Amino acid sequence: MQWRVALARLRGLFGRRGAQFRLDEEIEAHLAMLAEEFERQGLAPEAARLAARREFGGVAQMRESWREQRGLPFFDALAQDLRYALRQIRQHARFACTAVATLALGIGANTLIYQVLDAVVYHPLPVRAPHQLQILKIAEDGRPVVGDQISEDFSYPLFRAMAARQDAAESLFASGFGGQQHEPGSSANISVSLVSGNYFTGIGAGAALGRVLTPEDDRVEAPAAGVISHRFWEKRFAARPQAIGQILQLGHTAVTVVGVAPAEFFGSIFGLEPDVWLPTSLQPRIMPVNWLHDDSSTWLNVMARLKPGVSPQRAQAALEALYRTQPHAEHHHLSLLSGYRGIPMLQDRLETLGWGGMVLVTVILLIACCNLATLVLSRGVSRTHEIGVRLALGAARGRIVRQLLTESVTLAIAGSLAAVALASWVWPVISSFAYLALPAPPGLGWHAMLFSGAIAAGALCLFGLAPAMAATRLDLHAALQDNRRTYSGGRSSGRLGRVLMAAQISVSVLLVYGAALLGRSLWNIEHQDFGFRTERLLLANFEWDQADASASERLHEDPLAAPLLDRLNRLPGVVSAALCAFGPLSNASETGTLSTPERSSPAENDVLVVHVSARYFETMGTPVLRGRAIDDRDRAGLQRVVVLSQSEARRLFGNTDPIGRLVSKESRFERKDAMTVIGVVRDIRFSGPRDTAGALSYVPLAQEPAPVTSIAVLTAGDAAAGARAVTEAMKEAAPSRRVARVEPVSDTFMINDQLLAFLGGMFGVLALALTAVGMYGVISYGMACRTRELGIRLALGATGASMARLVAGEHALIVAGSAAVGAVAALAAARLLRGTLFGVAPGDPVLLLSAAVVLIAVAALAGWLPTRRVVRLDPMETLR
Amino acid sequence: MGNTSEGRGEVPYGTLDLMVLKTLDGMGPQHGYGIARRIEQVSGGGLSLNQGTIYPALLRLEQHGWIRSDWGVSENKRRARFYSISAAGRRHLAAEEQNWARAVAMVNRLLEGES
Repeated sequence: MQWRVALARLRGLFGRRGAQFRLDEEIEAHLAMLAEEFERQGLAPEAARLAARREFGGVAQMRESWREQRGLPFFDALAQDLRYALRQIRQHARFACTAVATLALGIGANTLIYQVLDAVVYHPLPVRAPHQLQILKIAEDGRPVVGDQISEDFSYPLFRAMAARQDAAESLFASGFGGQQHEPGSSANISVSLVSGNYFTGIGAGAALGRVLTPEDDRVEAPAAGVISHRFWEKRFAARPQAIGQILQLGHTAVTVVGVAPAEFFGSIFGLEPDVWLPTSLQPRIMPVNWLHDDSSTWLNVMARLKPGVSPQRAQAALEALYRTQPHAEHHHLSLLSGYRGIPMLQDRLETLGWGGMVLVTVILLIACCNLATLVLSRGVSRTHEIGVRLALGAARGRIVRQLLTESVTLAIAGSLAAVALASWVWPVISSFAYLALPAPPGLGWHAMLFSGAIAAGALCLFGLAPAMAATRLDLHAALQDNRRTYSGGRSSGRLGRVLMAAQISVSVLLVYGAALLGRSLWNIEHQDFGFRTERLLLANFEWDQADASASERLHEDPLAAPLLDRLNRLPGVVSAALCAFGPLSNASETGTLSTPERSSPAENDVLVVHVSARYFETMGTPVLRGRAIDDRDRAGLQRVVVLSQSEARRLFGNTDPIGRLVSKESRFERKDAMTVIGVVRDIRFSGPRDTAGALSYVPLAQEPAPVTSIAVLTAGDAAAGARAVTEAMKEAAPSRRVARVEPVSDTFMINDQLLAFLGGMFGVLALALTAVGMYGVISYGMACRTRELGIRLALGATGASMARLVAGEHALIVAGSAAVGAVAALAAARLLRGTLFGVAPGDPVLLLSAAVVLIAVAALAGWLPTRRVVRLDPMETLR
Repeated sequence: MGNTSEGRGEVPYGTLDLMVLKTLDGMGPQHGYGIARRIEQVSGGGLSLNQGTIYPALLRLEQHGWIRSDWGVSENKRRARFYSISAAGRRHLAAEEQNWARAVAMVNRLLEGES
């Protein structure tokens, strides 16, 4: 029968009003009949009615128990609290809006960061048993193996030899970048990944359509076959099943599409999904060089799928032992890294950034919650009387706390809904950043939803529960007197307010200090000596186009090259332009070896080689310290020349004059192809603002052909404005060459630091603003509590100024104390930034002091406004 | 009538439902006042009943499906809600009567044995 009762009670939740009327009517009829009865027994009408009431018993109690019997009391009370809460929210709409907006921003930002971490960083490869995957990494002895230094470590012969002879893993499989291939008649590039035949079975990915590549396909005599990505299938073949068997013309090779990879599979490197996977055997057919027999070209990432039950340590030992038997293994060692998330090129960077951001945003949210708590508290003052009355009438404290909490819960729910909406709205924008190019889910995952819910709950405890507890911990007697007048105490809730204020100030000192450090660091970065100019300089990078490599290699003698350079040089607003190969910021580098007659090179590949045209140093703004720059005189067939960087010159020649000396590109000096040193230039930051690799050599493109990777253009005015003109000119002069992007050097070089400093600054400002609001709230609240006390003091002859001093003094102590606490916390937290900071120590006393002073100034300003009101108090008004 | 309460017992816990059902079973459809009066009459003034308390009891019985209710007109032409016992209610009543008898007999035996 119980289900029946439950059902009836559920039904009772609705139509409450009608049922109440019915009960009222019954009660009325009952009382009337009772009264008639008593009248009949001889009582006067009035007395009869009273007697009837007595006989009936307490109407209110009966109604209450009837109501409890009728519905579900928990929900009943909830509905009641909700109505009450909504009424409160409507009455204090401004407060409610502030609360919801603050929560939405705080929770939304956290949710977004979490989503990035969840979708990008902690996402396992979408393949079978990803925890069995390991990455094989070869590093020079003495150099630690770090995730984001992962590069293509294996040559093809080394991979083959090891794959054939190992038995520690189920399989070793390899993948390498196969370049951007150009399909004739189409303007789009097709990015290629070259993989060993066992790649798909090894990594554990099936085919969504057709079949995957097999070792059969990876034979040199096999017909050219390829597997396309799901995305490419949709883009190129409109997701038609007939794609299988179609021919893709990649450069000079016709490749048959044999399969489509699953939608979620992006290969082994997150963020670098190729359009097509080809077997490694096709490498010589799509690139101008043959790497299959070349053991000095390393271009493969190798991963292993461990046998079940074999620990990574055992596998590493076995593979390292095998590696030791290979040629060229001395000075190197092999180690394994978890391949659970694939090859973490982008993830490691994002992970640090993400967690840093999360900490910051959480701290901001904390401040925001403190603020809300303060506001709730100060509203609590005006409700003290009401709450006192209800407590006195016998309301349970729990019941009142529950009622106050309902309001906060409502706000928290509204806030987190708004946060999720905000995050869902921003997420697609973020995930479509080219920088990330995420194969990420289009919407927020349920993880992120749960996460934001958890944060909302935490926030709720802070800004909801604490004030509610404080508000009900009342001195009833005091509360029931007209509150504002006698109620100078409210000690416990006042204390909570001050604790919150102190917490806020401490946290803000921390954030402002962080922002100051990042700003200072950015300033240092921007104002350091890069060795080339960062303003007014444009770099036009060419697509790294392997199929076209031979063509771009001839660019310097290309009939178009001279006109292009000429044209660029004559563009209005262009000061000079120069070609270069493997220069700074071109995403590619060439390493070489230099030796002198006196000194053989001890190690191989320890100097960067940059191929440049005439006017290069002039364009880049790299100062020539000695001798001359490379110019038009340095042509093929004449004496070969080289320009050295400062460090390289010092390394090779010590303090003697290098000009006119001979160097050769072999590790042991060879006179026949020796080059004359004609100049020494300033060291440059080669790959980024923190790169101090100084060993550089510059050779003329005319004498040492290389694929031109970029054109440097020095503009007269704003670089960004010149970018378009340069792009146009290049398109017209050399339409066959695809330009990846033309952008000002400062953007390419410092965007990360700028972004970080910008974010830091935003957080700092936000923290300051929130603190100011919070301080203002707390102090106003304090004043509201003490109006009467202050009024009495005024009436007794205290001057406004002395009163202001009194109030200010109390707060100054808190501000100073919490600023000190914040400073200590800031010093501890700043150590997290150590890797990011440039030219400034995490514990910079001047910046720390400045941060504290700024905070104190803001606090003083925020405190001044309500204090000013004290001075203007009219004693009569406050005491009446 | 509070001042006449000497000698009157409280309604034993849980028996009000039984009394209401029995009353409805014997008298046919009846309004709340009628039920309350009937219970008082039958108890011979030996029971102090806050008449109001029968309304939550009526609601409870109705929720179990043991009684039904409908609007009707009382003997002195007043609109009132009339309650009547349902078939399920009769079955329940029979079962409860047996339970009650068994319980009373048991307690009686116990008390007699003691004295």
